[in-house]
Amino acid sequence: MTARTLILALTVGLAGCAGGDPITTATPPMTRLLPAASELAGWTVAEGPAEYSPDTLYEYLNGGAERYQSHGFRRLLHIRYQLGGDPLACVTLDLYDMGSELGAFGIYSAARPAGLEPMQWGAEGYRSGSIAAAFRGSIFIHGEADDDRQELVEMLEKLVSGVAGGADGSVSPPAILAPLPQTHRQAGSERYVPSNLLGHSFLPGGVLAGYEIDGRRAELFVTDLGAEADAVAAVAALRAHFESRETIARGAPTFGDDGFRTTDPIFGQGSVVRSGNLIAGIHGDMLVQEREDILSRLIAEATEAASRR
Amino acid sequence: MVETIDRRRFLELGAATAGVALGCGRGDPEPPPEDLPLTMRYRPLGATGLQVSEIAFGAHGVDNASLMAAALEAGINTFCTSGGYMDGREEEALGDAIARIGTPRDTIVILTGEPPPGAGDTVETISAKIDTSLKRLRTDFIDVYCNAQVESTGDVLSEPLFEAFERAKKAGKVRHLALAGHHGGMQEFLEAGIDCGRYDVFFTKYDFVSYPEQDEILNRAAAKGIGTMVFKVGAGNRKHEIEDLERGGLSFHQATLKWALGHPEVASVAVTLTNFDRIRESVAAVGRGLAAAETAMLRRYADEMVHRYCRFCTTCEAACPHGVAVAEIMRYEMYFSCYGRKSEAMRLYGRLPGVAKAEACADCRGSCDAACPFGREVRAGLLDARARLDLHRA
Repeated sequence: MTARTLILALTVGLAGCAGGDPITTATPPMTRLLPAASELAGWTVAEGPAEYSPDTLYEYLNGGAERYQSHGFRRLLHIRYQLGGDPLACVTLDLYDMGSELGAFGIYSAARPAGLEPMQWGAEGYRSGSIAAAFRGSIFIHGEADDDRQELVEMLEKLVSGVAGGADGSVSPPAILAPLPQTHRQAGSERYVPSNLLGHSFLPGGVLAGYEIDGRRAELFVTDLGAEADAVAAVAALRAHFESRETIARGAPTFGDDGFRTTDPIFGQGSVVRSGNLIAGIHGDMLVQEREDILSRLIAEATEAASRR
Repeated sequence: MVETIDRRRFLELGAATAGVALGCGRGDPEPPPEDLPLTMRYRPLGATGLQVSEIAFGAHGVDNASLMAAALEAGINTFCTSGGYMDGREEEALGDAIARIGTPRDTIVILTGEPPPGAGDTVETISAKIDTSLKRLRTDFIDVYCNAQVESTGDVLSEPLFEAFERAKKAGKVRHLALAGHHGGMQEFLEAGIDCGRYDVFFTKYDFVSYPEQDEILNRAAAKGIGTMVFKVGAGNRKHEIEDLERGGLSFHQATLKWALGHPEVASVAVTLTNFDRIRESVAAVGRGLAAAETAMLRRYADEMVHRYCRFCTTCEAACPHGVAVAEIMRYEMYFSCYGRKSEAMRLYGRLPGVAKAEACADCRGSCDAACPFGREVRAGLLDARARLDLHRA
């Protein structure tokens, strides 16, 4: 531990000792995001604030830490607020510095339950029962009330929205989502996977999103290999994967390059194309014209965005 | 050449020995040929009657049904998750993938669970959590329900959990109870788990660096019919060290799997399988002993890591002329640095009797260093801990 880290740890530790004292703003950025004691009438700090590093996150999240690590986790600030003298009337607040907006969005989107109405907290937020979450910039905010009593839930929302409001970063969705076609897209289905897209080590991270037309569903994916030669090699490897499983179907999309169709017992019917550095595909139980229309709109939008740059 | 190794002595080998071993083993790697058919093997999980694949699918973070299907094709029949991961999304993803693949439920083994009951938990709330897991997993029963992430003996001996489990078992919702965790005091918790007679399975961290005593604990558990599955076999998986060690073409990952599976009472190793290559690499380790070069690689890695851990064995305390409570202080230091329980750690240190604190260490010659069976620099560690834990000094 460096001297600087040690000083930081001690400062945080001493703040925790004070139980209920205001969290000062002279320490690291993450504690700066916490509310002052004056905003917490009737509440005290029951636990923390405590910091976890990439090396110690396992002690807090057990095996669940791996997913955070893979998204670029830098540090966690954990604190627990208590209402009055009841140790079972608390709200736990965890602030994860994920190192990047994509990392924060990635972990947020992995935790987000399907079908929830998003809240205008930071770039996006939600509450599901006694759990609330949001992200903004590189910060992923997760809160949980001990139960769904109104006063606890109100505090939960206040804490998560407050931290999201004070965090640095854009309140718009990450730019990586911009090329995704809007029509037929399932709200809240967008996800960012940091590596091994579709389970392939030759694909980097990428974006996935769900689409639905008259009950027929499909999942769209897109990844940027960074260089056309790498994309050519990766799409060939992807095709080889399906060939080895004897799941290549007849025909190919009429747009993009190196396109092919698949029929996978799990993924359903699929279409894959390459366009420049990008590899994109869609699979599910949609009709071929429906899914390739969505895929072609993605390619067109991504191509246009690239030309604008 | 497959090397026979004394597992307990593995950690006690010094750097010189490791160097010799590396020299002996060089040129004898066992890379898995690409075209080698993968063959899974199965082991009984204690007295549960379950047969688990030697490699288990650590399902968290992987919501890719195709990947899971590939694992099933490779013979992996055991899937591990937790209701505590990602607010339950991990269990949902596993349930969804199993449904999409259409695997008959009785051909796979599912482990899931929750962290130990908290102060507000009752038999009813724990029962509700079991029901929630069943719903998310889209199954009627859980093969092994884990009391996960235990941090104290109190966690191990949770009566509300035992009662909720027994109720769920009678209702056919769960079949076996596991004790799961990876904390510094895990050996003590495993001992408590053996003694209490309530657990059918251990699911615990197990690696070639941390706890040599654990082999004997697993043997005692096996004698009581407790089956053991393990995880985190990579001893920290330090990238820099591993990259260096793998330059000769060896797979550190495979070597650690072979090491863990070398214990006859380890039924299965849970691995986070994030891509198809990882499945192949992991399954290819099954049924193969450690090659000499792999053993040497693990020894070199252990040499790098061994000085970083206090095992709380108290051997050094007998050598301390001042009566310093080394193990207690190092445990509090772990609370402070690893668990984020800083204020508690400082309070606990403050309550130690004056002589038991590390006050005398600054002017001591450090007989503890020589006494440590793991070669740790104990005195330096105590001084470091004192700097963190002593409120007045801070």
